[in-house]
Amino acid sequence: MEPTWIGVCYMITLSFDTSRLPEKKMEYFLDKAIYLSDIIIDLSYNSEIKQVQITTNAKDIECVEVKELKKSFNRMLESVDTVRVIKPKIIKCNEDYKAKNITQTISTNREKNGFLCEEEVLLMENLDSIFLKIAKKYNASIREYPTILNKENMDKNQYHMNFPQNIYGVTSLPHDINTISAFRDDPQDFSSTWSFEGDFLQPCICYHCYEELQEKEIKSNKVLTGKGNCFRNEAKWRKDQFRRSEFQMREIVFVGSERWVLDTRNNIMEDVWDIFEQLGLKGKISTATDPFFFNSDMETKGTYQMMSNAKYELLVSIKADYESSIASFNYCQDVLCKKYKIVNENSASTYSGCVAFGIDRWKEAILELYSDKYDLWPDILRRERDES
Amino acid sequence: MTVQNQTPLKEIIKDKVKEVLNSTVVLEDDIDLYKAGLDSLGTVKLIVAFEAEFDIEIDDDDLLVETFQSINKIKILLEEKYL
Repeated sequence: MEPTWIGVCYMITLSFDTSRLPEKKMEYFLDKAIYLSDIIIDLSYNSEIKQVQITTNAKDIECVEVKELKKSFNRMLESVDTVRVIKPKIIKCNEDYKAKNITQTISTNREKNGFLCEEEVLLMENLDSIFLKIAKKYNASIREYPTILNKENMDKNQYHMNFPQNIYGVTSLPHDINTISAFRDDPQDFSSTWSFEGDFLQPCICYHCYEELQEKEIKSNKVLTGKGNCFRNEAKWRKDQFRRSEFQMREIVFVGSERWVLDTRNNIMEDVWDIFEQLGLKGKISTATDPFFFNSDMETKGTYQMMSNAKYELLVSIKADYESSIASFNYCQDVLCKKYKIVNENSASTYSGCVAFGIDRWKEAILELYSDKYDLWPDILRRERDES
Repeated sequence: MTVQNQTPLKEIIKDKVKEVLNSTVVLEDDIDLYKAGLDSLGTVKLIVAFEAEFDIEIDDDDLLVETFQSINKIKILLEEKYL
């Protein structure tokens, strides 16, 4: 295919036959395929002809990057063919279920301003106040943590190994006069002067809670909650008002006995579903996996997560074929407590779980449904606004 | 479908589990395999091994951690539903 000159950049669209892959695995495959190459600017799937179309910003169909992309695509297709993918189980749903094409309309750039206006800020505060009430119902202690997740913490939780595609590292200029002068002489050269010491912008809040409790003996069940700006390295072409690189998240983390942790996770899930319905939102809760970076070991973790009902996601339906995850309910067994050496009074590892709210996404769902007209908002939100 | 070879089902299951656990110890029928060292990777390897051995595809609904918790539970699942 000949490259097309569009505005200020080239675009080449490549078509890939995926008929060898069962339909059940396609959504899973598409989630991974977006990370195949940095030259991808759009990706879509036509389930009728079983073809994936990838648009790139390559100038030349014969260039190295395109050749690499083709190879990687086929390699990933082969690998996914061998992965045991489990279909999500829907455990709650208030939408009229109809079979959806898994065509992803992810090329539409719906990103708005790079800032939030007053109405959005206030709405997020109101929503968070509702989430905080849920946390307080479970006797959560409120926390505020730093934005940076330090190297020691990251080494324990291994987020950067499981989800390297998601994270932003923090670099700084060493306090050395020669390096500082060298950078000032050539301010475009970051690679030879700025250094990375292993600190990251937080992708979530919960690891701070585990760090706070690390190497401690937990005598009774403990609940912590914190809110903060979190960061994930999303592909530019996938960003919209629901998928942002920087977003506000509240998490409720609970650490204690196995049964209590599971019950707490499930009870909070019921509370959140109740709020979801009071807000008039439509969607579902289903089993889910974390977006592990593709390799066979990590795929296994995803399959196991599905088998053990370790993660549920609340998906809000925005339009006929657009849904977004706005909360997750996670049961971490004793995995993280072992890593952080959090024990009970018998010196055995405790269990933990967490619930996360993507506050920006709740806000967007409300605005999509009711616009910013206060009079149209559901009672539960109006009450929050009136009380604030 | 029927089991093609003459080895009792329980023995086939035990062999597969030992292979995955990389262990030669005697496995009791009711021992908790997760306490014996079965992890996430091993669980998925087991599923794939059973599917290949018996030429079956285990339903998603049956893919629960509890189902693979002991030799007996695996035997019941395979016997009652797939073999």
